[in-house]
Amino acid sequence: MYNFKVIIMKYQYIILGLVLITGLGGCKKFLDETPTAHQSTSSFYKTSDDAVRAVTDAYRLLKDQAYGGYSPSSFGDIMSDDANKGGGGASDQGLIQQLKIFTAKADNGYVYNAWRDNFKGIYLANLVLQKVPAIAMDDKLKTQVLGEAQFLRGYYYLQLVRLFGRVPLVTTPLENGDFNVKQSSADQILAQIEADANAAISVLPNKTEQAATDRGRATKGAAQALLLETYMWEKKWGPAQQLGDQIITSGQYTLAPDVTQIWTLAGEFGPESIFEVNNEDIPGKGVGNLLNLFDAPRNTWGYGFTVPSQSLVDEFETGDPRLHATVIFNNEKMPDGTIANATTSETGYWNRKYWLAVSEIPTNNGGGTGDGPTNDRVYGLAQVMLWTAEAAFQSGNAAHATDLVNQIRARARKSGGNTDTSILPAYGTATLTNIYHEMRVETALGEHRRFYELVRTGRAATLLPGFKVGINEHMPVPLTEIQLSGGVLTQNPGY
Amino acid sequence: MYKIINAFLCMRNSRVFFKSLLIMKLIIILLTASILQVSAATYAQQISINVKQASLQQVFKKLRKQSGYNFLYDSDMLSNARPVSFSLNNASLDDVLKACFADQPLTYVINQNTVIVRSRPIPPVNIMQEVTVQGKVVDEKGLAVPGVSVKIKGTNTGAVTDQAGAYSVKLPTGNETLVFSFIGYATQEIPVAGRIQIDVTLKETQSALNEVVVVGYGTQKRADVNGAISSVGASKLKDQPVTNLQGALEGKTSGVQIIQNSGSPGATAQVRIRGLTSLSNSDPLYVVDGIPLASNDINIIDPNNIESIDILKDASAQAIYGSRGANGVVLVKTKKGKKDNSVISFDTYQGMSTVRKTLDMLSASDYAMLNNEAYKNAGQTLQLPTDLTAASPTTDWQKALFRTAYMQNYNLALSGGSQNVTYRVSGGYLKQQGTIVGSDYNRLNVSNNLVFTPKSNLEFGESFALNKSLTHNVQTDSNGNLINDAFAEDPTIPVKTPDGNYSATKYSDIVNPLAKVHYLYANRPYNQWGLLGNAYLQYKPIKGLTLKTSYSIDLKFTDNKQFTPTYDVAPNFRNPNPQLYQQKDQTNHWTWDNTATYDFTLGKDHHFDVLAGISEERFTYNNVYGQNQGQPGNDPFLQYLDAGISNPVTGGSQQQWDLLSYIGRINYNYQNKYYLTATLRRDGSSKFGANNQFGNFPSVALGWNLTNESFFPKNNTLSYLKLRGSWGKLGNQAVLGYYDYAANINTGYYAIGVPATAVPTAGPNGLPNPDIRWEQTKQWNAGFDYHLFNDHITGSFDYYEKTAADMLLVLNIPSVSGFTQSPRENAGSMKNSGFEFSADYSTPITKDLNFNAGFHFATVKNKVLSLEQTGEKIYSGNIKPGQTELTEVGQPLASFYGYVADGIFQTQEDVTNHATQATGTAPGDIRFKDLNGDGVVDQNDQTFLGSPIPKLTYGFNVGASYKGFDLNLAFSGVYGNKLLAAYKYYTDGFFISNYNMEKEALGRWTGPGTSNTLPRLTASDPNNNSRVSSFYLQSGSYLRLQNLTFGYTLPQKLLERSKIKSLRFYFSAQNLLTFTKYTGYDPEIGQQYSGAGGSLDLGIDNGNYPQSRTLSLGANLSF
Repeated sequence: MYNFKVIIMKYQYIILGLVLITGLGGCKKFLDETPTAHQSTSSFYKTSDDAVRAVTDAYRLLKDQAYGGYSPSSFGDIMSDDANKGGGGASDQGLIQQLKIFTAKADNGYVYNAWRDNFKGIYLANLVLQKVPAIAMDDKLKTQVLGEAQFLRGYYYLQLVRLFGRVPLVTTPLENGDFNVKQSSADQILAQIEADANAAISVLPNKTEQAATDRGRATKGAAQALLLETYMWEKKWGPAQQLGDQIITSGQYTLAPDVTQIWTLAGEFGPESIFEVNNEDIPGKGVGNLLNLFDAPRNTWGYGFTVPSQSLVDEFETGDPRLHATVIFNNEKMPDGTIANATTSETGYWNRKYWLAVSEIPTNNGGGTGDGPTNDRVYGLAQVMLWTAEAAFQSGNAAHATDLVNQIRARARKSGGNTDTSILPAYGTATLTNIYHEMRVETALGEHRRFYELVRTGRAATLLPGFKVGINEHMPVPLTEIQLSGGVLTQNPGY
Repeated sequence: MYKIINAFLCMRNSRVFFKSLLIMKLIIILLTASILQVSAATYAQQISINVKQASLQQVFKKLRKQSGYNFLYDSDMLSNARPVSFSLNNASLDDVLKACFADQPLTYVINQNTVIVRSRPIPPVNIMQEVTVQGKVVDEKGLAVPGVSVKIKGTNTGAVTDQAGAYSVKLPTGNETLVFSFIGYATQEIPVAGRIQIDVTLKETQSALNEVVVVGYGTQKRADVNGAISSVGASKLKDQPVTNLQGALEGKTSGVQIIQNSGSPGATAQVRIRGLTSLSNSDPLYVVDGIPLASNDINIIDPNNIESIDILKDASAQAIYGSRGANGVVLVKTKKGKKDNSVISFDTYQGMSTVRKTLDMLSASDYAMLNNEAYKNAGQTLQLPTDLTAASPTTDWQKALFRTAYMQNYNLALSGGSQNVTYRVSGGYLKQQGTIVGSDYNRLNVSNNLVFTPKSNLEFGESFALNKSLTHNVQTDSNGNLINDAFAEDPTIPVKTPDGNYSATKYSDIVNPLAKVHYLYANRPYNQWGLLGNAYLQYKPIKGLTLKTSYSIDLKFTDNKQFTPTYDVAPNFRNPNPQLYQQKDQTNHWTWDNTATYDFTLGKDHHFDVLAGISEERFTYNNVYGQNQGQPGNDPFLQYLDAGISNPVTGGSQQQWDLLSYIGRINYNYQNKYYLTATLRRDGSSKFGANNQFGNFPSVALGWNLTNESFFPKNNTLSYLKLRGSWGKLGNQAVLGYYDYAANINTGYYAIGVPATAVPTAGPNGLPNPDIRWEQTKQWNAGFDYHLFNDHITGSFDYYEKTAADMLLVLNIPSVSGFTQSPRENAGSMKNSGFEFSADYSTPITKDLNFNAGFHFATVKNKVLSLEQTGEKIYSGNIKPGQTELTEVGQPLASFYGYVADGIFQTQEDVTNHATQATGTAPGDIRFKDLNGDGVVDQNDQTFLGSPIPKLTYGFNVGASYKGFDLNLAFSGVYGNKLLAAYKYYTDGFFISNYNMEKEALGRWTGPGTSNTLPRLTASDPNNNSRVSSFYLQSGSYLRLQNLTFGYTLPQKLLERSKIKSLRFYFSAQNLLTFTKYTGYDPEIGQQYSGAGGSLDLGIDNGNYPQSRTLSLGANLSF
């Protein structure tokens, strides 16, 4: 009897032992896993490095993401009379062609990308503005980080207000479930941009105070230029002229001696550069520009989009050195010795501003096809001077306007090795048309602003075939967004 | 005994152990049950009984209650016994039994806890002639069979074999005949003929009911199974030139759809058990010899080593796999060695594969003519020469891309065993070329298993299966699809120029596909090493109780090397700088299972089989990669990172998840009439936030074997009928990432500074969802198993409904959130329902002629029930010409959605009279239906155009053998689905960019009356003829002769003199005939891309790697 008990005890212990072994290993601790190889939102935003990285992330959406992302040049250049779509025939990137001929509907992918990517930029800027104030870090750096975030938020909102007019106004990262935000009026958005730009102006450093290693970050001048563009949209001519003159006389910027060299790699961050999206061919890092590939001549390494239009070529006055800095002609001998073949271009021309010499093509330097090195010029002194001229003209100060336009023409006359002093004569009194003309030839295909400027100045319907007044000033609100809002977002008129 | 129960209750109440864990309770119940059995001997001796004129049956009943002992007797025998009267207090069992059997014509023996009643030996008439015969009864495996009835023919006297299978019978004369009978085995009558030692080997009766079915964590006899399980044995899997088990399973079972999406060598097929269970992931769980695999890469197993495959289809069968069972479970059992049966076998086949069909493309002159016509119609400049004649050389790019591919397979296996050990060792080698040049697959498998039984109650074993493969893949699924390239490529250029270089495309942006193969894919070897290993220890402390601990490991290492040499084929296909990218991945998945099973019978009729266990699993994924450039040449010996000199990039990471599970199952049957299976699994997974880490997955099933009821008429027409019903709840978590409950910070770069440097940036990769839970699938099943005509026809019928709730979906969210997609959320539910039917016929017609046939079909009906947070629409199938599929409540998932094409406008009048389509619509354009009749064809006129899910899947096979010859044909088919021929976007000329078209395009509209199906060609396509419409849709129904095998086995006589045991030769044809109206390469098209991203991209033909037709010759040899 006793022996049996012992046996029972034995079995009991064998089984219980087994249970215990697994039971101990099997406690809940076994299931504790921490996300590896990455920090998570709950462990990040603790140090000044985190703050800098977070704000730098908000810059990434500035890049021209020609495929699959927001492409400022598709809207600014191709939709205008400066360029045709190009590429491999009408159906190649047909969605851009729909934009070009004003048949784009609310389901157009590029319209959606523009909405999506600018709101992404706004989200990242809002995240910085929400998280960084609580970080214990150097106050000066913190102020600058917050200032950059405010500049960026304003910049992205300017993109949206130009494209869509009314958009939702969000100034803080939204919580899950709070995503359904109504549109605010364009005036409210512009007021927000003013506020952001002013806040940035008050804290950001001057260009001369910025270290070379920080080039590409927003400066006080960049925020001023943003505010100037906003004033131009608001037709606040007085404040615009005043602000423009302030930038011009700040001592921070001078016109580069040769305008034809601005849109070369050597011309990046030149003396008149106010704000540029910094792109570089750094293999494996993905910090290049896709627009080089997108716009390079089709029979070289590129796809041949954004081809200059005859209208643009015709806009240049005879002998204007800026023409050959903007347009590549058939059989033109390029600086790298190659001969251009523009016969396969839709218009017979190729885009010069994103052209690269063979030695600069990223795939020849270890980069991928999307690693183009060309910076996107956003604000330069010339554009600021021409806006100031327009504002001055509108305020009745034609003399000041004429002076500014003539400075731009004089610089162009001396550019590109030109010795013919008869070209681009100075205006006695510049008209509004003269100012618009100068703006077009000065920055065409470089600052991607022509379409918006035509809308802003009310010239789009006259110059753009298919443009319908009262409709095409704005893009349709993306269908997906309207559907997801369950009707909270309303469609723009005419779509 | 009472004390023990009390002790057990106390233990429970005292909260000493595991109070909250149900499974622990189960273990304890089991433990207690075992102790009860053992303790019977100790405590049950104290019996108090008081009977008057009671029959022995009545007494035995009381005794059984008090003692726990079973009584085994023949009721006829007891009819001769006299009633008894006695009264005993605290007596021993023996005393009571003595009182019962005093002066009875009966006596008894105690064997363990069974009292066996037998006739008292009749006093011998002639003592001199009495003979004692003894012997041992074993089964075909040589294992002792206890409990076999050994009777003297024509009497009720005899014996029952003991634990060791031994018996001893006293015979009156020694000239009697002994009858050996036991359920499940053929009864044998053996004349004694004066012998005193008779050993018997019982043969299992050839009934489907005796088949052993592998179920989760154990096995069951087919007759005991209450769930829906499809089984496929080795005989149905052999002789097919397929490289994985999925291919071999195609068309073999009902309710299991195998879709061979790709003919790429080494590709695995998609397996859908009872439809698509979830919107996000419907891949079943694979379990090989009890080891759950980490992925559905079943290539790790050499098909030659598979003994059987059992597919768990309903909740009752799946529930034991809990959170991973919802999509069904494929249980694979590999071959094992047998005792005293050493065999060396060698199998081989040599095959030859080709593609089933290619498309007829235009000649060079027609190519130029049609493209130019399209430009002309659009008012654009002509881009192609107009002077090409019919005699101009035309390159057939498909012919250049495809080849006759060779395949060879070898397998050598040694197996056998002795008293204490069995083994099987095998090695296999497969070399397979793809039908597209540059693609191939080589695989080496080595596996072994060993089982040691040092004592009869102790067993331990180990197994490992090692495989190594080398694959060259050619890209055929997403961007850079070689097959589309071959359709579209300019036919005016040769593959290579006379100087041997690959030609540059003249007129379009297509890259010469052969150049791509040569420079890119040929330099991308993908190496993989896998190890599947297991060691276990099994101990049976008492009869019926099995304790097992098992540790398994599933390791995988891959080396993905992509060398890009320098080449200069065309401006858009040149690389001046050599580059190497190399990635090494490592996955380590271990499983530790601890189980106890207890098999016991209460009384005579209550049979229990109880399982309890705990399982832990950990899955770890690591990777590391490096990339650099500037290798000083393209030579193979320089294709290493150390040879590179510039632009190095490195990276690496790790992810890990854990699963902790408690498992319990009870199988019960009463008199083999009424069956119950109850299962519970409790799973905890690290993939979920702390709030929802654990989930319970219960199921219950009932079965009723009518055949064993006394009222059931004994007849040969319906020889077996069992009704089954089950319900259960299962989980699905396969789609989840490792850390979806949190939001990771992703690192990127942005250029800052002059000179620019790449400055790190950091931002959230998404939004977190700490409340994420399991997907839950509830399923019920009702059906029956039947045998007809004396078991010649066997089969089953099932109806099921399964509803997936809390489906893990990524929802589209407004962009103001900063994201376009939500984290995975539990949103939406979906239902699948259907019938399954199978019938198999097998019978010998004469001694030499055998015939067999089988037929099965399954229907599936899918319906999305709710999509709470998505705005009720999920678009998918995003491919040119656009998003082609929509998932919406009330419809089957991923249904084709678009416009209804309604012929071609013949005249301007037609255009004018029809609803407005677009500003440039002209005669020759497609007329789309104005469904809402508002006079405008716009997005509101889109509608559901059909489902890519077949309404019916079916298969049948017929086979016959005559003497040494055997012939088998297996067919499979689907019916009632639509396919989207997306490749027609290019080949019918909707996309004009100097791409080649199908000859069919010559029938385009060129004027009134010329065509009512194919629109005019125009490069600008103002009418948007290419929009997603019914134009692209075709029926996906097909019937395929999946396999034909003809074999010849050499007669034994011929082999007698050699040492060869058997030798067979066969010819096998795979994918020989396909009946379909589909115009693409192959109608068998499943999910477009593997992985979660493409689970809703169904039935879209974007130019898939076509399945091949393989003819092979093979031999099976054994010594």
